[in-house]
Amino acid sequence: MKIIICGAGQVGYGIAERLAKEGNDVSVIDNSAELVQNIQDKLDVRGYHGHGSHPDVLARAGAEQADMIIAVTLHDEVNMVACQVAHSLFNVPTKLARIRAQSYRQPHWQNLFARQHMPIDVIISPEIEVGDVVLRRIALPGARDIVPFADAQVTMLAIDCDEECPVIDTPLSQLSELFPDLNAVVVGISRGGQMIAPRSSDQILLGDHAYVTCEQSQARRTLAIFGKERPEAGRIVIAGGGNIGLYLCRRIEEMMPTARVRVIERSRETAMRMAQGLDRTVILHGSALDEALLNEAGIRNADLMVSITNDDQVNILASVLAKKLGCGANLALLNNAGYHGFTKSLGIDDYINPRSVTISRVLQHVRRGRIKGVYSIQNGAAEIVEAQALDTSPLVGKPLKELELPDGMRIGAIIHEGVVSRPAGDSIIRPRDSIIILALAERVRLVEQMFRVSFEFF
Amino acid sequence: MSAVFNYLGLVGAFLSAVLLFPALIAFGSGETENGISLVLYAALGSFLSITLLVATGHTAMLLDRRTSILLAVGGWILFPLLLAFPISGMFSIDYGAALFEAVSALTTTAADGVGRLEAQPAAAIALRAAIQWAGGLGTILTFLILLGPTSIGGLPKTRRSVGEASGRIATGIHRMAGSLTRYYSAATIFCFVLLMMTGIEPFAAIILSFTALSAGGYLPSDGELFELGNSAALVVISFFFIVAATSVYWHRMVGRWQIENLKRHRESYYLIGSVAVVTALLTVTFATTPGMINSTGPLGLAAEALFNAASLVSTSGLQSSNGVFTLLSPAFVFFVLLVGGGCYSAAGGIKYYRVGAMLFHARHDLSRLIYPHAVAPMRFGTEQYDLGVMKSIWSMFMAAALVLVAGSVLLALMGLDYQASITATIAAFVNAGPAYSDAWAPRGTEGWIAYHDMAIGMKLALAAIMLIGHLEVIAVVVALDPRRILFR
Repeated sequence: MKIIICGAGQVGYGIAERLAKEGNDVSVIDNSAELVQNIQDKLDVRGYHGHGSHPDVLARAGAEQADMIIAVTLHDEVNMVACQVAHSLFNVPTKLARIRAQSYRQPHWQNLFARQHMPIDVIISPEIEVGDVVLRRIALPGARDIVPFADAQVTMLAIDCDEECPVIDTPLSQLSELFPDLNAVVVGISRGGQMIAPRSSDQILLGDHAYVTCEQSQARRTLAIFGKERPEAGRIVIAGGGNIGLYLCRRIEEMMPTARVRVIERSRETAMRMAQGLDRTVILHGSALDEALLNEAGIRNADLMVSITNDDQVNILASVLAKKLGCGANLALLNNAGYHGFTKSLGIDDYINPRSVTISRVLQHVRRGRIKGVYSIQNGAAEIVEAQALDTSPLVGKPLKELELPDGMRIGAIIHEGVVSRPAGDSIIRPRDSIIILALAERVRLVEQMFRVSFEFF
Repeated sequence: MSAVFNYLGLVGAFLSAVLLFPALIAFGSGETENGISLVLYAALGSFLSITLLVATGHTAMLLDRRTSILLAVGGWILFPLLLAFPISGMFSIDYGAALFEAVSALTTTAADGVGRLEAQPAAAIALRAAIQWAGGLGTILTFLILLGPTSIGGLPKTRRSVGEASGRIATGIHRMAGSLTRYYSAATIFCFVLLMMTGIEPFAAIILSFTALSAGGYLPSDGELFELGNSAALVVISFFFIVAATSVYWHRMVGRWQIENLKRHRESYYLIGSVAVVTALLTVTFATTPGMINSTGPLGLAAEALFNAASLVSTSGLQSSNGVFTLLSPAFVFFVLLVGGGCYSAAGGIKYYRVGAMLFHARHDLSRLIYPHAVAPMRFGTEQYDLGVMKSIWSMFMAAALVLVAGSVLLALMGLDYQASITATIAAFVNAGPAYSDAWAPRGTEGWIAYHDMAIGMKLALAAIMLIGHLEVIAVVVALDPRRILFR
């Protein structure tokens, strides 16, 4: 697949890294010669110095043969124009753009991105993606990560298996016997930094990170079985009132009418903008590192502190300070991957990497075949894939025990006519069923092939 | 100044045309002399107005802040002075009493200074109602075109801004005034048709539709409103009271179904909510008042409660029967009247927008006790207000309070009972004339004089309060410090 990526910043680099690793033909454009040189030195990609929306630069990068353009520069307008030029001049079939300004995303202006106007197939807004991740963590605070699949019928939960976890050392097959009515499957385990797709005979060990797919309605029960049942956070303090903070607060006001949210924002102008856009949220002006201000925000009685400023160091310190002052749990936004390793030792319960969230969303649309959803876990060590089975798929029509799925893959759920079921040996996948499946990085291509639309289909 | 004369000419021409309606009624009722007299007044008014228009038509029509304020204050003083002449002739009263009637009608206060309507010619009753109707339209236009852009009293700014290029502004004003006049007239005709359908006789239906659309309070004849019509008529009038009390901008949003704007709008919803609350309160009060439920039935009771609630909130002041408001606490009644209707409506009062702003500001200040670093939204619905706007609102509120105190003291000094003075002052200030009645008087108390029995001094004092209230105390501010307002 020939892919052009406009923007060689953190997100562009991350996407290029993953796509290049999968054997795609990747060209990266950036107007910073330094970034282009850096990406060429480190990855198996072609770099082009220039403006991502200029036709001559796109032509040099091979836009005429490109299957896809991914525009993720810092500027919305450059991304939009790059997609427009790619469409109008080079007829690039698939166009993805990162657009941050919410004005472009307003429902009443959505016609802007219609095929006859500015034909962008997929618009990704990092702020909204990150905000949605935070919302899911607020709703299910026991999980380290929560991802919905199949129109939110199925949820993937990432759970830390610590001393509180009562199912440690229990074989996975025994879990099914112990909880026969539980529609949940452990699809992946991260152990000692290595990702595995477990078999039924494997067991969960202390210190593992388990990736469990379950029916949405059973998410709380699943967490309870893993010893992580916690009430939904009702008193929340948010440090940082930018676009993510505003989106988050709006959604909390809509979805959680009893939640009490306090926001601490350093910029008076931003704080005022937030206050004007919200009804029930209290906006405090000042620094999230100010102990008095944290106390004013009621940090002692807060269930959760969400630190989402633009500054990683502030997020780390604010989270640690909040915990010290009595806050129940904390969640920090960390852009710098270098900090991810020692969050636990600092006392940060959970973190969000916006880069990986965005990359994961972009990659979802790069996958071929009847793949409807993809979520990348453990920095790309594995992917949870939601795909629709076609008549031609090798998975269709046979009981699972006869399929002999290769190692590195595990089916988490089968959705047949809207009904979620746990896969068992005698389960049969029928055409048009949706399947949630975990595939280790080296097996992703195989999953794609399983769900590819072949000529036989027609 | 030429712009002032030009717009005065336009309004004069419109009012002259309005005089033709009572003239028609006069001819239709066989009052030929009154009819000819009104036609002559209309012709004279038209001649003067057209002369002004022709004389100033070629000059620039720039409406700056000073011109706007001058026109608003000057127009509302000049036209009652002129309209007092035909009123004096029709009712056969002296000029002073006619001036009171003119102010009362034009400001939609509808304080009846004449009395004994059964003895009055139909043309006179129609004239007063027609002036009241024109006053309702004039009120909305004054705020929409003249005072809104100046943001006086913290008014939410209208789309027209002061100081635009003269050609553009004149076209915009004419278009706005034209479309609003058509809308107001169509709504009046619709109200008239609905009232006719409820069985009200044509003359009464005309007067009542004029009253409903202008949030006024004139009745076609003596007696009580519920005797004139039925429950359906009360519901129709209530609906148009609410129309008259809500912002014309909101009406346009509804008409064009601008969902996003409608979601953000607040004032009209609070106003309608207030009508619902007062209706519920009155329904309970009526239901627990001995004999009321038996005389009208539950539906009639609810209709009457709705009518009185809508009348109260829209500052009409009209009651379904004399003394209905006295079933409620006087403090509550006068509080609702003082709050008044919505901005850019025909209703009087301080306006929900301002009260909302003051409450939000007060709540913000209170919340600062708990959250000293809190940043407040500083908005009420679609309207943003900064400290400057809040200062204007508080200043207007303080000036209103001063006017109320001074007015009530003045009336008391003139011989009115002090409680009656307060009641009359509030009723005049919020342009809800019928809200003042001797039904409020404690048993055995003297000094609650009906409007038509008041001395000329009292009438003129009340007329001044009506004008001050109608122009949202801007007239007082201009009178106290003309240099600052007009020549800054």
